[in-house]
Amino acid sequence: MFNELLIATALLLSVVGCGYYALSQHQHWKAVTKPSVLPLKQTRLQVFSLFALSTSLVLYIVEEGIEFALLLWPLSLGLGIFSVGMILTFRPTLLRILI
Amino acid sequence: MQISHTFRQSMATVHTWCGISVGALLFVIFWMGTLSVFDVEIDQWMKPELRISSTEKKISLDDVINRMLAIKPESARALSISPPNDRQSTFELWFRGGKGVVFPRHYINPESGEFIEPAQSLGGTAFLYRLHHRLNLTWKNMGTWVVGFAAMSMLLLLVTSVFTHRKVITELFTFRPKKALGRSTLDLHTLTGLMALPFYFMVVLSGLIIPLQTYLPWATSVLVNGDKSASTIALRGGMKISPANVANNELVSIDQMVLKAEEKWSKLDDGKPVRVDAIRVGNLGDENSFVRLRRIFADNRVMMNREQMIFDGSSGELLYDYVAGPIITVSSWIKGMHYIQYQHWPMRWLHFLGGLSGCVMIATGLIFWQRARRKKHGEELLIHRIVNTVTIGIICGTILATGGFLLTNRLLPKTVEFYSFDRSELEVLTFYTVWMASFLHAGFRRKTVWREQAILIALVAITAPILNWVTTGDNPIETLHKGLLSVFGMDMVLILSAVIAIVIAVRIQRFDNA
Amino acid sequence: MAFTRVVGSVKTLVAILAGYALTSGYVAFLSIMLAKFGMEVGEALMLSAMTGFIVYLGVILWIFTTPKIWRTSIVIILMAGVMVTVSPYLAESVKVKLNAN
Repeated sequence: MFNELLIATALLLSVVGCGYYALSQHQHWKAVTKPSVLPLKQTRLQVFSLFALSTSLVLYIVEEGIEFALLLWPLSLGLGIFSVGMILTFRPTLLRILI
Repeated sequence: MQISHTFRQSMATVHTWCGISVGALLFVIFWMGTLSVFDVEIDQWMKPELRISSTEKKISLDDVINRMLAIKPESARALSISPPNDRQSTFELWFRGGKGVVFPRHYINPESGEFIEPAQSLGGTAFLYRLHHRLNLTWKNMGTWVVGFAAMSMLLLLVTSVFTHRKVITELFTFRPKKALGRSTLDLHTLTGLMALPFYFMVVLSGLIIPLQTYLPWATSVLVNGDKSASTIALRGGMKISPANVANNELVSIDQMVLKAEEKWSKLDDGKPVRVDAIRVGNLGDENSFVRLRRIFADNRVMMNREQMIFDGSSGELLYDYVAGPIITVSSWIKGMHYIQYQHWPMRWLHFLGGLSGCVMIATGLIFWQRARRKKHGEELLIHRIVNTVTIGIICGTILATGGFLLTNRLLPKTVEFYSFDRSELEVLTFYTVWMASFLHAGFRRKTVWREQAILIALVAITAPILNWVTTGDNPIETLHKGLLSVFGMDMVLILSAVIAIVIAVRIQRFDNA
Repeated sequence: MAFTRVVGSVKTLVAILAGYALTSGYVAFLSIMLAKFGMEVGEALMLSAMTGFIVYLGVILWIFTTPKIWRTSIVIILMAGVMVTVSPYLAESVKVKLNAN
């Protein structure tokens, strides 16, 4: 059970990390927030993104071992990109949760 | 006349030309490959007699082998055994003859030791998987070569795609379905392409490395002065043991050999429990009979095929003890990444989703090119009709044909013969017939083809689990209860596919009218 | 327009065929060199073959992006020819240990 929880967390962190990276791009930030909200510095968002993605990788290594982590992490990154792409397309305001 | 191309333009040109040449072929390979992730589960869906929950009490290997030897055909030289694993709870055994002859597979119930007689069907492992890696063309490995050609093209496509974008990162998350069809198709193509690019690259490269001796027959044997079998042994481990042509039917306990091997290999793996998953008894009935134990698809690691032991059959003496060297171990990891036989269900599902996104990528690429081309030329020439037909036939047709394959499996009685086609051949015949029909349909009905084929796919996908229930009594609630997760998963995926197909059918009017 | 199509087709042919020849030569040649320096047979073969696919990809990309198509093609064909011809002779001089168990 704990194992599954950690993997789920790592997956979620991949999505979150991709979300922050998308937000660091100006056009996506505009799509997510109200026009009056000033954008956070791009580098800060990218740091958040890096932090989330690396934590995800570390969780995978700790839980599954380096062999599986090397496969799991890029795949979950892909899942993150896809999810964020879909959220941005259909429900961009959902990403406000990250700000 | 063009004199100089910019780098990006030449990359784009290569990408486009390569894409249209092999795109259709790549879709089929990717689709069959994606399905092959669950080939064992598909087998169990198509051969319901194999739906046996795993048991605690198992009969011994020696017992199973003796039962098999009792029905040994005259020309059999070796016996291969695959013990139960986490996906398949039956023993699977088959004899081999000389010159690569393989006899039909037998299944033995692990608890009672009785033979199981499943309905004849090639199923996922013998049809869909084989379509994937050699398109069922076996003449001189032609199928493997064609797939290899497609694979190299795919690598080229992946690399060139990176250079055709000006703003890779910003375009990464962009998908605009409400915009013009051409734009949204391209967006989806870019999204599915970029999001899993490392995955696609590794999957294709590992797929090329697996049959590397087929692709480089001369180059891999020059070092050993042209001796192909020496090259095989160097690359995969092993030992050539020729029969002595002296009869000797004695066979020492194989369970003991397995225990010895598992003990030794467990030490290599930090004491973790280890399972021998491939056993071959060679030179049956001969003085030089041998037992080869391998750990091909380990449960808890990606690497495959690293250890091997060969024992003498009549004396039990250890003849050969092999552990792969560092580079071959790395190649085993790469190959293992492609075969996906380790016990890690989240990973297996992620691979499946990755394969599906690859299919979407290839399909949207073909559709986008076709639309862009038609827009550029204004009217619809014959060449466009042909391209359109091929595109739909390949994309929808392959999916529809797979569905037809599954439906036929549930509809045909257990023993049936039609003009000398046996049951498994009839299933395959249906597959190709539906495929052809899809092409014809696409050729003649231009305006509403996409919607009609999507609806057909939905109908087929929803009928399959219903037929499963009717013919075997297993419905999703029951299989979940019995712990037959493979059948449950299959039914669920089929139902989900039907839903997705309907959603696409509803929204697809734009494809036809654009 | 037609001219570029012909050029494109010729480039494709050269890329596929000469590329394959060079790859084969590379794999053969490298495996022999590695074995000469003491690497085990299987290891040498595997490393050469695995990197061979990347080399093939590189050759194809080179042919399609080089501005000097004639020179590149000749270089590739020559390299392929040399490696393919020389390798069998080199192989004989390497004392290969098989079944080292």
